[in-house]
Amino acid sequence: MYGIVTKAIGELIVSTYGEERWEAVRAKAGLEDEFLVSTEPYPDEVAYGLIGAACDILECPVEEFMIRFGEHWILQTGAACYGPLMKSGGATLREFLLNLPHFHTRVVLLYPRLQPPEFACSDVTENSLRLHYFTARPGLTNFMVGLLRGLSQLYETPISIVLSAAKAEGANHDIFDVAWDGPRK
Amino acid sequence: MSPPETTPPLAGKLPIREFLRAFPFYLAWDGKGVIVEVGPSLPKVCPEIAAGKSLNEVLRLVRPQGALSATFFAEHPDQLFIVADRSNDRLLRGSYLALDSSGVGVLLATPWMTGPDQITEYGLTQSDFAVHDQTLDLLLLQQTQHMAANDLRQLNAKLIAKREQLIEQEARVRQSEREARQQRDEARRQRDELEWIHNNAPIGLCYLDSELRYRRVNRYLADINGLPVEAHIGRRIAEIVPAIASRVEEEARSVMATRRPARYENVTVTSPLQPGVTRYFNESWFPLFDDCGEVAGLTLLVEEVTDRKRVRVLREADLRKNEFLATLAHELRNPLAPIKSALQLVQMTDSDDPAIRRENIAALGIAERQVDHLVRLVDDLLEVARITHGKIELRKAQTDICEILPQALDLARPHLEKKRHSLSYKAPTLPLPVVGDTVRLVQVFANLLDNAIKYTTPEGAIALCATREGPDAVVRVRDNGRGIPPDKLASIWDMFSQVEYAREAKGGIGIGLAIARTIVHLHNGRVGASSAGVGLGSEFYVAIPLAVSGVTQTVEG
Repeated sequence: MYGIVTKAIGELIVSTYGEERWEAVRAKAGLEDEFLVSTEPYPDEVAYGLIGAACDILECPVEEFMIRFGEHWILQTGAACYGPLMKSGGATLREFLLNLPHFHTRVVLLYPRLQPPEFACSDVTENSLRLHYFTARPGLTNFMVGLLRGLSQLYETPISIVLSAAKAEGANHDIFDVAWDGPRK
Repeated sequence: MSPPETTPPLAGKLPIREFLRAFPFYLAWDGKGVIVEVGPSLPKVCPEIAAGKSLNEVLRLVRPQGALSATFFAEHPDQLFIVADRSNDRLLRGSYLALDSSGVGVLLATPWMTGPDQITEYGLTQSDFAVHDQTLDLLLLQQTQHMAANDLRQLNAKLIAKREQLIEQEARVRQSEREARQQRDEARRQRDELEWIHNNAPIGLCYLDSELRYRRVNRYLADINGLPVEAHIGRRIAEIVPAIASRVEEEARSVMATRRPARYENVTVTSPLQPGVTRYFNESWFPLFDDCGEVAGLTLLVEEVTDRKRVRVLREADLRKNEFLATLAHELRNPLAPIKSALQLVQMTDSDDPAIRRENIAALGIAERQVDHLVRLVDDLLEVARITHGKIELRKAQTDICEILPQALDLARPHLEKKRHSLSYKAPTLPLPVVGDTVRLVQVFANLLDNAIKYTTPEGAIALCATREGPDAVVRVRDNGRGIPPDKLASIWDMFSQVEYAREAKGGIGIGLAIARTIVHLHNGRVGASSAGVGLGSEFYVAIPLAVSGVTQTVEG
C-alpha cells in the first residue's frame, strides 16, 4: 500500500486520540523513526501492523476501527489529499459510485506499483446499485463499509448497505447492495 | 501497375453524432463562422458560447497567431489550437475537423486546467469528460505532486525540528561533558587529596575484603607491620601479623557480624621491627557495604597511643611521687616532735633524783626509738634510690623458702601481736629450695606480711602458706583486711603507689611492695595480687623458681 494509507491511519489516531497515542502505536508497530511518504509504496505489512497496534493500544475492535478508518478516508484524507478531484467524482452519491471504476483505473496509471482495488457497478437504478469490490487484500470489507458511510455523509445521502456476498465467506468478491432515497438537496 | 484503390474499412461507418460524443466540449460552426452547435459539457466552462453567436464574438485565438475565422481553421487542419473564452478567459485546447465542403467545421476541444481547484471552479465533474480525456489524469497527477510536495514540506519541517533538537542535544551533551569533566577533575583532586592523606596520615589505615585480605594499606600501618605496602595486598591478616592475627580477625568478624563500627583502646602490639618493645594502639573498625547493603569489607584505623600512654604513666608517677613526698615529710616530721620533747625534758630536769633520772632515761628511750624509726625511713629511702638506679646487690646462694619464711614471721610478729591478728602458717611438707639472697627474700615476705598486718583492722586473720607449684615455690599471704579495688590491682606494685585508704594508715610511704617486686624480679620470679574487692581481703603471692641443683654462690648487682 502507498504511504498515504498509513499516513491516513496516523491522522485518524492523532485527531481522535492525540499525538501521544499515535507515537505509542508507531512504537508498537516498530515505525517510531519512519517517515512515511504518501506517494511511495510500502509493504502491506506496514499498514496491517499499524492497524493491529492501534487496535491493541486503543482497545478498539478491529471491525470498528476499520469502519472508522473508511469514514475518515473519505471525509478527511480524501478531502485533504484529493480535495477538488474528490468532489469531482460526482455531483451525487450515485454519480460518484458510477465513476468509481474510472477513478481507480486512472490511479493504476499514476501509481504503477500500486495494486488498487477494482470496482464495478451493476443493477443500477435511480436509487440503488450493486457495487462489486475486487481486491487481493484480506480484511478490508469493513473498510469498504466505512467508505460507503463516509460517502453517505459527504453527499448527505442516507444509505443502506447490505453485504450480499462476502469474499471471506467464499464468494469471488465482496458485493454491496447500496440503496438510498435520494439527495436532500 | 498501381495497386487497386480500396475503400477504407471505417469509411461511412462512423456517424458524426456518435463521434462527437467522445468530445463533450466540442464547438461547431458554419462556413460563415457562426456557431451552430456546442457539446453538452462546454456551457459549464464557457457559458457565453452558444449557437447563433459568431466565433469572434465569444472566442479569441491564443495559438497559433492569426485572425479567428472559419477559414483560418480550415487553412490549418493539423494545428493544435488554443482559444480563450472572451468572457472569462478560460482556455480550450483542441484540433480542427472539417465536416463537409461547405465550410462546416468543428473544434474537438477540451478545457485546459492548470490545477485541480479549477475543476471545482468550473463546476465540472468527472462525468463531464470523455473517459479517454487525459485532463483528469493530468489533474490527478498534479494532485499527486501536491501531495508529494506536501510530504516534502512535512519532512523538511521534521528534519528542521530534528536538526534543532540535535543542536539542542549537542549543546546539552557538551554541557554535560563539561560538567562531567569538572566533576572528574574535582573527583580526581579529592581522590588525590585523600590519597595523600591516606599515604601520609600519622595513623594506620587499611581496607580488608570480606575474606580479611588486605585490599589497601597505607605506609604508616605497613611500617607498624614491618612489611612494604605491596607485600600486604591480597594477603590475609594471619600472613602479615601472625602474632596478633587471632585477636584482630575476631574483632573484624565481630564488626562484620554486627555491621556496626567498633573501637578497641590501648591494644598492645609488638612491632616486628621492634621486638620486645610494647606499643599501644587504639583500633577503630568500620564496616564497608556494597550496593546491595551487604558487608563487603572493613576499614581499620590504627592510632598509636604509646607516647600518650607514657605521658599518662609519667604523670601518674609524678603524682605518686608528690604524694610520696607529702607522706614522707609527714613521716619524717612525726618522730621529731617526741625527740624534741624528750630532749627538752632531759634538759630541764637534769637531776640526780633517781625518779627524775628514770623519767629522763625513759624520755631518751623514746627519742632513741624515734631516731631508729627515722633511720629506718632514711634506709628505706636509700633502698629506693639503690633500686631506682639498679644498684641493689644480691648475694645468691642455695637456700630454702622453708627457712626464710620463719625469719620473716619473726620480723612481723611484733606488729602482728600489736594488732592482735591471728596467724595461720602452714609450713611446707617438702623443701622448697631456691637460689636467692636470703636476707632480701626475708625482706620480701616481711614486707608482704607487714602490708597485710597494716591494712587489716585489729583482730584480723592473716594466713601464710608456701607450696610447690610446677617449677616454682609459691608463697601466699592472705588477709581479711580492706582489700584492693580492681583498678588498683596492677598498679599497687608500682613505686610510691598506695590505695587511697592506705595513706590514712600510719607507718608507710608506699615503697614496700615496689621493693618486694624488684627483689622478686631479680630472682627471676613473679608477683601478683588478687582481691574480691574493697573490704573483702587480699591475697599476695610470690613465685620463685625452684633450684635445680649444684648452684654456687654468686653476687649480682
